[in-house]
Amino acid sequence: MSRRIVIEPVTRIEGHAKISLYLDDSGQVADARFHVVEFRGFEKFCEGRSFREMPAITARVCGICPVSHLLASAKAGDALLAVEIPEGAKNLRRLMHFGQIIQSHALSFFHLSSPDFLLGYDSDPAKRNILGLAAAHPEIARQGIRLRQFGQEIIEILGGKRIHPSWAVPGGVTRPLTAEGRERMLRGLPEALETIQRTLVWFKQSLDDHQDEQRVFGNFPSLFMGLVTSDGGLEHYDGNIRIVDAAGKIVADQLDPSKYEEYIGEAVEPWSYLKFPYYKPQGYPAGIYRVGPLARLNVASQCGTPLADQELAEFRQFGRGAVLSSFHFHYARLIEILFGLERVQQMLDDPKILTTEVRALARRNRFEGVGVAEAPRGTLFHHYKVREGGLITWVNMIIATGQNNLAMNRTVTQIARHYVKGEQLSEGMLNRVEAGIRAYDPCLSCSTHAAGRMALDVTLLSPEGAVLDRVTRG
Amino acid sequence: MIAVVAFGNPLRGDDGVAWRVAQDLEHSTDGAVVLTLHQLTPEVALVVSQATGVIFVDAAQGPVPGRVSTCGLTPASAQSTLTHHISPETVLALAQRLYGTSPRAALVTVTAESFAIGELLSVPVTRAVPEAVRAVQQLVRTWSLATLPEGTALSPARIPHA
Repeated sequence: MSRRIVIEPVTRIEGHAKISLYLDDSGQVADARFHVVEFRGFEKFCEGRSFREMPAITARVCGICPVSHLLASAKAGDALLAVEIPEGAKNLRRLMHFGQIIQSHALSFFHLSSPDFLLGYDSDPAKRNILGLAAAHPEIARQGIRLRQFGQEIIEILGGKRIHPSWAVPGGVTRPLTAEGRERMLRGLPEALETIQRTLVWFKQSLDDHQDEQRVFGNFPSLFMGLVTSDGGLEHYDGNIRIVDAAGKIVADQLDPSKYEEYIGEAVEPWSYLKFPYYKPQGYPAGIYRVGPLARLNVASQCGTPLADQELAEFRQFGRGAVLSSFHFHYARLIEILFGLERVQQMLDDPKILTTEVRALARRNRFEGVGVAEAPRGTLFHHYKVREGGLITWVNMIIATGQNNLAMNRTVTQIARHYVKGEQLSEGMLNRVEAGIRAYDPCLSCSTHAAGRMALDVTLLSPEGAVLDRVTRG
Repeated sequence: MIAVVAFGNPLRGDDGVAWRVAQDLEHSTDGAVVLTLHQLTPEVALVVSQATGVIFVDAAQGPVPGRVSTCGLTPASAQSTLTHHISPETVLALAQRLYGTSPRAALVTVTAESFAIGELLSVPVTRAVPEAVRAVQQLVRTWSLATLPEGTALSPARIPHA
């Protein structure tokens, strides 16, 4: 008979995560299950709305990555219009998306994960958080805020506001970038670049202190998936899908993202509302793949900017083929911020960024459209079907956190096997399970966040169901 | 400057009540900057640190839907978390630690009836919106008066109806 440990951060409604660790009779961890209550009801909610409203609606799914939903939705709308949007609109959407990547990665790295690196995984959980970081390393905390603000400012300048902008629409964007807006962005770039380069230096120096975590935080073979340019370069807004294996060998290349159903399957397990996407040709669960910054750097042949390419070369030293440890999601995030800043500079330096040709006007010309973008956490698919008049009849959204579901489960299992000893929950184990999940930066924020939510609850149960140990946080 | 920070998810029924309150405040409250957010994140601390007072507006759980409550807030420590959200108390503590100041603060909540997916507020929460708006306006007025130099004449437009 197996025994079970439950780790449950209890929010008052949907959106919470729960972890169950199954022990075998010898007290070793046999399996782990990371449950996320999915936001499936949202897709039903969209039915009956016009596809032209969808970018603005879906941008409100999330307060952290609204731009990714906005752009994937607008691209699905482009497909429904059957238009080639102006190059200027593509560039502006891409620019806003870099703002999104920068601000979201900065939040994940500086404010959620750097307390682990800088204060230590075994430090008091009451201090191993953003306030502890602010006390021990205030300058790093302030730099993180400034970097995040820079990304948000790009979004705000283009979209008119930093959250829920309804600026990208089917056919392009509603307004061009002004010369003044361009100047404001350029003014913030030097500080942002300095911050990320300084951060890369200290992070790389600290890696020796986290060798155990690099070894057991999701360090296993899997496939990796992401968008790439036509020549295999790092891509976040457009391009086609590439899949590589653990050896870094290309398994599939230049797959049409709009035909994702041909190569991505979605398995269902009775213990989770969240589906388990997998690479169809390899079956379930052998077709496990990871998405997000680690996957993007693994699939890309090159970044295409000088500083990021130098960092990519160093990053690749951590793998023989693909870099396998999910701990390196953090490292990959920093490189992607650097890449984003370099690309922002390049795009702003091009006078064409101020073009006013930013929208193609058309009526609906198709009944089905797919839009894909690389959200900060990974590949995001929006797939709509509409009827005459453009009202939505069916929606499917495949989000990054879902695609990393199998990998997160395997990561928790690996960490628990290493750190669970006996029948008592240790702080060290709990801290590392949390940190292992945090590496993926799963987006649980689509739920509500009103006052009164509860915190982390960990329970250890005997084979007979009796509570052996319990830890509550918050 | 007094900051009103209204937050919640407007696609989750009553969780969007703060957005509605903010919408009404923007048309009726002088002397305050109104921010509408999906959730609280670290950079809110910078805004808070520049304010003389901050009023957070949020939905809450409780047995009586539509109940409006106001309470004072003080800076408080955070816990390690898996989500991207931080609490109002943590925002205040962050402002204090990073920018050396944390203003007086209050939280105005409206108890929710439903967090189901949708853009509409429930009937009791809709009815409570004017009361929540008045609660915020009252705080803005009181705090504005407290920060004005003695003898300053106020125009009627600067004093919202309570």
